[in-house]
Amino acid sequence: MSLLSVRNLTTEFFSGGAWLEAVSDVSFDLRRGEILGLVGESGCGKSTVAYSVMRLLASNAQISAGEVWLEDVNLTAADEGELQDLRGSRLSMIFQDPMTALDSLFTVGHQVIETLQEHLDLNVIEARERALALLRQVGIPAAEERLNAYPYQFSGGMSQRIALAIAISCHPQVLIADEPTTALDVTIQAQILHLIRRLLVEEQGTGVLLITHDLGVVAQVCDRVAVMYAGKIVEFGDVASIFSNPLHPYTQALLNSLPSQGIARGELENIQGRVPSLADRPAGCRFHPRCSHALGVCRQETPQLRTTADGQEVACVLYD
Amino acid sequence: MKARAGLVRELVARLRGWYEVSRSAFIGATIIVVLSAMTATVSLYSPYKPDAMDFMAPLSAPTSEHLLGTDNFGRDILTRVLYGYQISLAVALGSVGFGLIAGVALGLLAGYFGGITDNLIMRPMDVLMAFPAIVLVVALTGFVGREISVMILAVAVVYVPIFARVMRGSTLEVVNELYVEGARARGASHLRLMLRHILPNAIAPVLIQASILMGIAILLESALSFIGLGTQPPDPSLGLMLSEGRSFMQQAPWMVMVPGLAISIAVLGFNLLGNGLQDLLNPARKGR
Amino acid sequence: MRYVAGRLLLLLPVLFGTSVLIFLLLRLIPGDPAQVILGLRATPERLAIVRGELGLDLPVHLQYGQWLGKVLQGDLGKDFRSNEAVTALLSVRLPVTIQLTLMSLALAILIAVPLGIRAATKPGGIADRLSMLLGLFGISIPDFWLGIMLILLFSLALRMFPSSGYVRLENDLLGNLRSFFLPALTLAVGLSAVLVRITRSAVLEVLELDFVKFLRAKGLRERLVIYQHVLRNASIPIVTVIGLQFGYLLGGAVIVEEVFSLPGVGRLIVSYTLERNYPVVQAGMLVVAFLFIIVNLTTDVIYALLNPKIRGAGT
Repeated sequence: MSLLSVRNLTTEFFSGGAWLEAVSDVSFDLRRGEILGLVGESGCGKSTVAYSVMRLLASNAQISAGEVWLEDVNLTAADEGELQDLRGSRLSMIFQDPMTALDSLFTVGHQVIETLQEHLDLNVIEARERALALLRQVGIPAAEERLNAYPYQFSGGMSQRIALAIAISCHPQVLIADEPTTALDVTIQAQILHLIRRLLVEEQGTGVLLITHDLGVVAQVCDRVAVMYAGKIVEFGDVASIFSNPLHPYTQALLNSLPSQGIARGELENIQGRVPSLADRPAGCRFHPRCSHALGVCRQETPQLRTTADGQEVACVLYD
Repeated sequence: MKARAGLVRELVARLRGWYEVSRSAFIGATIIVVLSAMTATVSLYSPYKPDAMDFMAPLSAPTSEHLLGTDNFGRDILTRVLYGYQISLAVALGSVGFGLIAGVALGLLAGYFGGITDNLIMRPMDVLMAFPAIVLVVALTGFVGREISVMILAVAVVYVPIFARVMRGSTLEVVNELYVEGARARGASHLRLMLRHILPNAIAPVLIQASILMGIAILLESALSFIGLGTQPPDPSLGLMLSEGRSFMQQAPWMVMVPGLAISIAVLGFNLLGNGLQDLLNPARKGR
Repeated sequence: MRYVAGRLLLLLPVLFGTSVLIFLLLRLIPGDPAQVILGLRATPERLAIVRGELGLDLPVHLQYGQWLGKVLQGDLGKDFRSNEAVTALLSVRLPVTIQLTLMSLALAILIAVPLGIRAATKPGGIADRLSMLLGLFGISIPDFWLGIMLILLFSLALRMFPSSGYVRLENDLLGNLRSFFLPALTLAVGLSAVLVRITRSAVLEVLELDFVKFLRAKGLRERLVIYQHVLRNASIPIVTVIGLQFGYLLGGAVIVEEVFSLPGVGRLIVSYTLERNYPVVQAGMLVVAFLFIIVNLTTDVIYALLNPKIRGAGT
């Protein structure tokens, strides 16, 4: 059953006097109780997908085509009031840098409580009790005292736990996590991912869209994964099958860069060139200038996502 | 004929180019250039002397003869405004000139040497900045004298710490740059490092500040003259004209409106130029 | 508390330098200060008395010591013409200046902060354009001229406010506020020009911070996002600028009190300077510098109240 359904999403940025597509014709479904990874190099448009779903795009960006449904609600058609009601209650998000995600001038307690009071009909005492319980749930020691502490008194890992507590405070159906562990060191990373898995996915059946450039993270917690390149999904499937049998040359390259360092960061050393900028994307398959298997036809024809015999989806002429 | 048309076309194209670069700076510079040209040559084209009285037409409203009216002595206000600009601009140029030279020298030394030198220079600057500009200028002119030279020096005293602070800041920003380090490694002397390598790269913010302070100097001169501590009658200073006009503002409102507008336009010109230059220097902060 | 004490300590050298500067002003007068102060028709006996009072026959550093000693005991010297103590003069004048500056500060905040916020949250809108215009014209128009224009419009043409004169607060509150409204507005325009710019840019800067995205992502209503979180964060640079600009208000008061015939410290400085009654002017300047330093301290305290990090470090 699908919780969040993204249909043919296209998002554009206005830059240098023209509208440029950052996300082109992206479709996927997020199911109840699964973690779906959205993976790609920086600049591939994965965060733009997240902001499009949240409808929190910057003022120079817009959704130019497609729809996003949260169960029966069309998010792309919702007005600001409806969106504000949905955000934080049915649809939540956490961000990459936990140290800057909280307002440094307000206590952590205030920031949890204001969220609860915004969405739930609670008085101050009830909200405080609830906030306390949430901090304990996400594993903040001495929660009672920490409620009155300011964000600068927390470490990165603890801050991300607070942000998570805020995000899950109203039992969201969908959580979007945009590189939630990139700024943290590896052990803390694992703790946070584990927390998301246990508290949300297993206990509440939340669907999580996990955005990352890190295939290690995908292998650790995701059920399914969508690989994005230059604004498009190029491959989609179960984590197990994609890791054992990557089809798209780009996915193969991503995976090849993995074992050497354990984690792929930033640029891919064994693929020549860089992600093309929004302004000069190549015609045809957007990956062809960097692809070792490129054929003449790749220059002209844009490959569509097709389902293969074993249920994986891939956009590449090699599998047509 | 043809050559001249080409020249005009080229001039227009160049002006348009400047306009495109920064509208604000262009308009500001235009105001300043036009006003300066008009005031510098006023004796060549004005039919009136600034202190020529016309007892047949005191407090005359604007007419074709007196475009902006006359004051209580029948003196032509437009003429007096244009002569008044001479004093404003003289005070502005003089004070900004002195203030800039002294301030840049002090700021450069403070930023370059740091440590004790920095403190010896900058702490007294803090003291000068503990007074509102106008209070300091009022005191200096009041205690020392009301000549235009004292006025220029008094405003310059206010400006030295401002220029010094800006220059010190921008010196600190470039003093560790590679090209400075490189020159140092090649054995350049302190003086050479400061004048050849740091000064040219650190001066831009100072020049922007100078444009804004030109405007403020015009305001200060007119304020001083307005309260009677600056230019003395019968010299045509904009602030003095304004203060004289107060007694007649009901019968002859142009006597107060014109000089005030004149001050505002000149100050606006320098502010526009300063803002425009600021945007050019720091495009990311445009409009902030 | 320790934080505030630290700031106070930093201000001491400035205070010292300021006193030296004010003291030296009298020595800048060309000729015999006693003669200048008393005028040409002064008797030799009077001159001798004034010279003695000012300590003119002592070496300069002793003169300064004597003067500073008196100042620290609250003796700001006297008006040698009326023989009145300067403190008595100032105690009447100071409340006027303080009321004027505080009222214009309040007006400027009321005008500039909402406008600046609106300009930042709706770029390109009417508020944005208005704030650009205010930011430009507010600092280009001389305040004494603006005051005269306001008198022309509101006093002479519309007869809504008095053009001059001062109604004591304790006699008639409404009359007092009416007599202060135009001068305070005049002063407020220049300050709000600076304030609207800094508010706009501070809010724009805060709006780009990550925590704002998170506040929106958690569905907080926009009003709370802006007026609670963004404004509180933006208020740190805003308060700094207000502190820095307070000197501008005190300076502006000198001129505006003159335009509206308000009997404040500014007008006192101007009229006594014109009369060359210098000891009174010195005292007036001391008061202005002292006010300025108090404002600086207040700014630091507000700073600490706004920012938990500074507060935390101080205890």
